[in-house]
Amino acid sequence: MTRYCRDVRRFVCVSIVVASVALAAPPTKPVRKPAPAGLDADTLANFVDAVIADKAGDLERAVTRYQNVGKAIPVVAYNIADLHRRMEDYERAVEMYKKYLALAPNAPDRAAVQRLIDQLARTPMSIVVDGEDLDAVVFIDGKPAGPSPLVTRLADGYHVVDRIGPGTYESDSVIAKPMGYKRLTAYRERTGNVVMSSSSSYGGSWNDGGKTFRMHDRFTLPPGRVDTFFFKPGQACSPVSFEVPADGIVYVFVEAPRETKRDRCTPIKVHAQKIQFPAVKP
Amino acid sequence: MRALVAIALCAGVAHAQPARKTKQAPDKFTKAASEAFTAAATADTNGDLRTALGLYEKAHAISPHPSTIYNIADVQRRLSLLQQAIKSYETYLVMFPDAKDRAEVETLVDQLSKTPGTLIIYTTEASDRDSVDLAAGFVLVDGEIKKRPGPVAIQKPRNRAEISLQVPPGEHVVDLVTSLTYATRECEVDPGEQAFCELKAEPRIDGNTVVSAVNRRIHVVPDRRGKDMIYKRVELPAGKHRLLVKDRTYHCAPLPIEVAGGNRVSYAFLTTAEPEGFKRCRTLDIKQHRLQFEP
Repeated sequence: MTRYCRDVRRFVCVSIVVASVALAAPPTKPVRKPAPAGLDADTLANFVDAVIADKAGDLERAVTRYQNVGKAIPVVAYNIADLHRRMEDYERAVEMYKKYLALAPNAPDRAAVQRLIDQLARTPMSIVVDGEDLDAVVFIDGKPAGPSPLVTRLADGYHVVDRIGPGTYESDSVIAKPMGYKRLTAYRERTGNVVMSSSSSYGGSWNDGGKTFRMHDRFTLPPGRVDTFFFKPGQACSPVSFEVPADGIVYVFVEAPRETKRDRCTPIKVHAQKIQFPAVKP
Repeated sequence: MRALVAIALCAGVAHAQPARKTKQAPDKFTKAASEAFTAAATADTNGDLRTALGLYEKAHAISPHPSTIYNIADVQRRLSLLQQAIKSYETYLVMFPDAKDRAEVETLVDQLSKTPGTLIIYTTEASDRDSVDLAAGFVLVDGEIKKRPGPVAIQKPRNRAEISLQVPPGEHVVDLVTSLTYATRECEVDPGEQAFCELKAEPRIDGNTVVSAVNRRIHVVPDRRGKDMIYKRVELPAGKHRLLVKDRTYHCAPLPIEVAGGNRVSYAFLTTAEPEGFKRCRTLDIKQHRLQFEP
């Protein structure tokens, strides 16, 4: 990550590190339970295979083997939960930990498992932003989040994710919930020197002075100063001003209420920042 | 028992100086299993480990018991059947979760699992057009140079050129890069075992760049519309490149590589320690070499 951060110099990668620390995921160390007594030969063989696969790092195979043992066995549910936890699939992990507690209501580690469930259930949503093109950068809620591919966690709530590459643009909104997962991949080619995005759910376009502005899109405007309004002039009273660079791209993020009324003056903040992609070099 | 295990552990590599440390016959055995168990113990005492193993296995099949599977593991270990011993020890731990010697056995399993194996790399007969010149090439195992161009000794009893390498147990990617061609093969070796790894390749594969990987689900392309370069030797323009890397369907950070001209081949190897369950590009470890050949 560090080296790649250096390559995409205009990004403050420190912010990613800070965010990662603040939203740290649970530890990945294995916590396996031994088998219960009285397993028949086939079940026993599957349990042994599961343990061996787990120790060899083949966690998916270990899950399959444990499933062959039978999920109605408390320690099997626990061990499957542990595997899902280590594969960062916290939703399934919590489901299986709960199953363990249901199957073993008097388990001596009940309190510890419940604490673990509570901890996992609070794990912020994970988001992966990637795409084929090099040098793309990612913004979350209008702020630089890092170079693509980006793997990070989102605090609960509504977020807007923009990925801007030399020849691509992808945008999406997400309502982050604990243990959630979202992937945003850029496939579509989009060119232009202006990218407009907003925390508002409005995704339409408007014309002003012979120029067309499209929200959540990338388009071309002549270089120079631009003064317009959020939505059509006369229907909103919030100016949007930014400078279109002669080289590079301007990323304009309009911070506005998620739901806006088109016939009412909407208080907004406009953040405009220039993006200049580096010449292709390692 | 604990003392015996401790002795074995102190001995270093467990199978190097095998020490017997079997358990006593359990009280509740069926008669037949008990007889087989007793006979196995006698055979073991007499040094007939193969017979002992067969009889212990018979006893275990009649009436499974932790002591029997433990003894099976112990005999397998002394016979250097380490992979089987590991499975038997794991079975013992599963059957007897409250075993007092659990920690010791787990340590022993861990130790056995790490016992290096021997990879014997060779090529096909000279009559095969796809046989390769082992002496002329770099041999890399999992991206590490294990042999540079130079003579390869003829080994008996097979009377052929072989390169013998000690490697950790598991699957390994073996690459051979010569000035003329490129061969690659995945070879697996069990703990303490020998495995033969045959290399062959088209007589001529041109190119100044080789990209290899530990996993067939990692892909590398020169550009968005380029062909997968993994396990291939390709020609790239001299200079710096950033290759596109994909782990399953997930895009990764680019692979920077500098391609030199002349008699040099740029080599990169990608590996990961993370399981496939992750829903993102896994953390990749990249090893790179510049392989220099004589003009």
